Amino acid sequence: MSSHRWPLRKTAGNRLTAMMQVRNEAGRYLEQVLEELSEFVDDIVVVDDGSTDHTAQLCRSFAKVTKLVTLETSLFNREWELRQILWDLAVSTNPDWLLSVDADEFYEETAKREMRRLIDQDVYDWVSFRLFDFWGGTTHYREDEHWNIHTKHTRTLVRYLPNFHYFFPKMDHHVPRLPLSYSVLPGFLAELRVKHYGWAVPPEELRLKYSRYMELDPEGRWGSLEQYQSILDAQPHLIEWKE
Amino acid sequence: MKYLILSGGSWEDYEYKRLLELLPNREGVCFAGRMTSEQQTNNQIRAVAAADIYSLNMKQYTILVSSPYWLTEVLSLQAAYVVALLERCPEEEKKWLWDKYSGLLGAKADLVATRSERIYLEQSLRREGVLYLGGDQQESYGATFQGDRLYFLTDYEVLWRKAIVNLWQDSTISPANWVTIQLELRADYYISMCAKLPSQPVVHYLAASYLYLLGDPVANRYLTQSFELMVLYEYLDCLHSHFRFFSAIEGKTGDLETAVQQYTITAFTAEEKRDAERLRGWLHSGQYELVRAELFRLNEDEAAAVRILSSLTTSEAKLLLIQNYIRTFQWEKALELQQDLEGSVDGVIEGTIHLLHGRRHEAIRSFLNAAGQDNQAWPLLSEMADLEEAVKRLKRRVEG
Repeated sequence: MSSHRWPLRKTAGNRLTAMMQVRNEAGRYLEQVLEELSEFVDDIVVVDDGSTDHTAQLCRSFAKVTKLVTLETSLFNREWELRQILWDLAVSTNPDWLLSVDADEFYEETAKREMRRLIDQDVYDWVSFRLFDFWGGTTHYREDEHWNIHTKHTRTLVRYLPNFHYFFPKMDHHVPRLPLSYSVLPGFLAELRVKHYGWAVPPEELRLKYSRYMELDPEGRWGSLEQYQSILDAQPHLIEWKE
Repeated sequence: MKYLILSGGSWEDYEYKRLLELLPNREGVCFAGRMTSEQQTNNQIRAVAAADIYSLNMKQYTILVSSPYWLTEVLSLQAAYVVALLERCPEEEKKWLWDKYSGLLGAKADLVATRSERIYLEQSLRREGVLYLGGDQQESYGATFQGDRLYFLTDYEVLWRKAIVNLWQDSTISPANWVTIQLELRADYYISMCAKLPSQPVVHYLAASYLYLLGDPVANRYLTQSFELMVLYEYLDCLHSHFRFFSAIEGKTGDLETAVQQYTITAFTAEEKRDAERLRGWLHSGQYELVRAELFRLNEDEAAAVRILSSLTTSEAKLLLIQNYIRTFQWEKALELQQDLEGSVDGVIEGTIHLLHGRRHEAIRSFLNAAGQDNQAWPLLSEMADLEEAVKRLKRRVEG
């Protein structure tokens, strides 16, 4: 892999690599996510964080998954190391752009159509999108005091610049999905949407998720206890999604 | 050696009295301005009226000048050596005028010394032979007798004496190693501060700066740490400051292709993109010295750029050298090279030089020529008036 490229910022012919970290995602949304990603990215790079189901096998069945690393032991409690491993694996494909995707995230149709226009330019080095937390199913997203991530932008698409200094804060949890250093580079806040289906599950699974959060972070060190509690809200404020 | 002091005000306000006491081979010291006879006796200094300084045999004198508004006198006196004591702009002066003429004074001086670390670093990136009149070392670095009085010296006082002596010595025989000694002291100080203040980005940046001036590739590590801290504390306006610096470090001690790419990361405007293209072109045609010199200039290290370009003979190198001379206020050298290369000169620069040499009419003519037809002469003539006013105020302060 050459660490030198010219031009550094290409206006055409950019190679887009999706990067994902996964754990026990078989039977959930992973297959659908990989199918959709295969439509608009050039490569998919995956770190399997010690899955005990057939997640790795599922990933391998997609031709665009060009790199897959399976960790013997989960790094869930050392998240920055996990992020670093995924980053190193992703840049080893010598990408022009990287798209950080979770195993339950879907780019809306317009976003997928616009993806090439977003990356084939030399003005900005990252793009952020509006992420929507779908709730209880795939028709509505949640919007209230604790669930409003879509009111801000989340950086998920970045240009890879060789010889730039990339680093993650060395934290065990809540590590940003992409290196913090991107914040000094110019970016574009796109009014394009990403559907997050992590909470698009039935009530019994929401209760399980709540229990898991409380077990991991009973004092609310990494997140807000009020938000954890709000997972159990009987009548959350939901808004219908419109394409 | 005899010394002539051109100060920024009265003897009472003069802030370098101890440095005068420590001057090596002190055969005589004249102070331009008013002093009481008691002050003259106690300090073994002779006062001379500003108007009388021309009666001194300047071939025997080193001038110590601490106001840029003495520049016309400094140029016409043609002393054996000139030491510029550069200061931050006083409140009552116009900053742009003070900084410009301080730059011109610094460029004409044989030695620059300053109590401001900021000026010290700026000057170290512009020229050779810069001394910081400050330090953080508590212990004494030596002692000296001046007459029958014993002085214990700080680190920078020892270096002050070395730097002055060094002026008289053939620099090819006696390299100015006091510069390196001081840079090493400053680097050691900031490295120790990084251990004490591990979350301070500025301290790491300064450690990197001194290591860079010493040519030490470890500068990269401190700059990296500084960058991470800047980002963590959300001081996000640091792309240019840090990545042009990374590219200069790489240009000095590492891989040129990486250095060019690091510069390119910071290139967004049309001009910056042109610079990046040009660097790339030189890199591919094997003109590595041009690449290195330009990377240094882009990181505001014109001193390093001039060191490289002065030995090159191509017209491309000479054009770059002119730019570096202009930016470092070495304007006479720039004009000379411009005349040789292009057959014409920059009128504003030419006018300023006429002005400093007391050729007022020639200065006005140059400014008018440079300004063209669209009333651009006014700011230049206004600057002339501002300078003349500043000089008058200086003379009033000096004469008390």
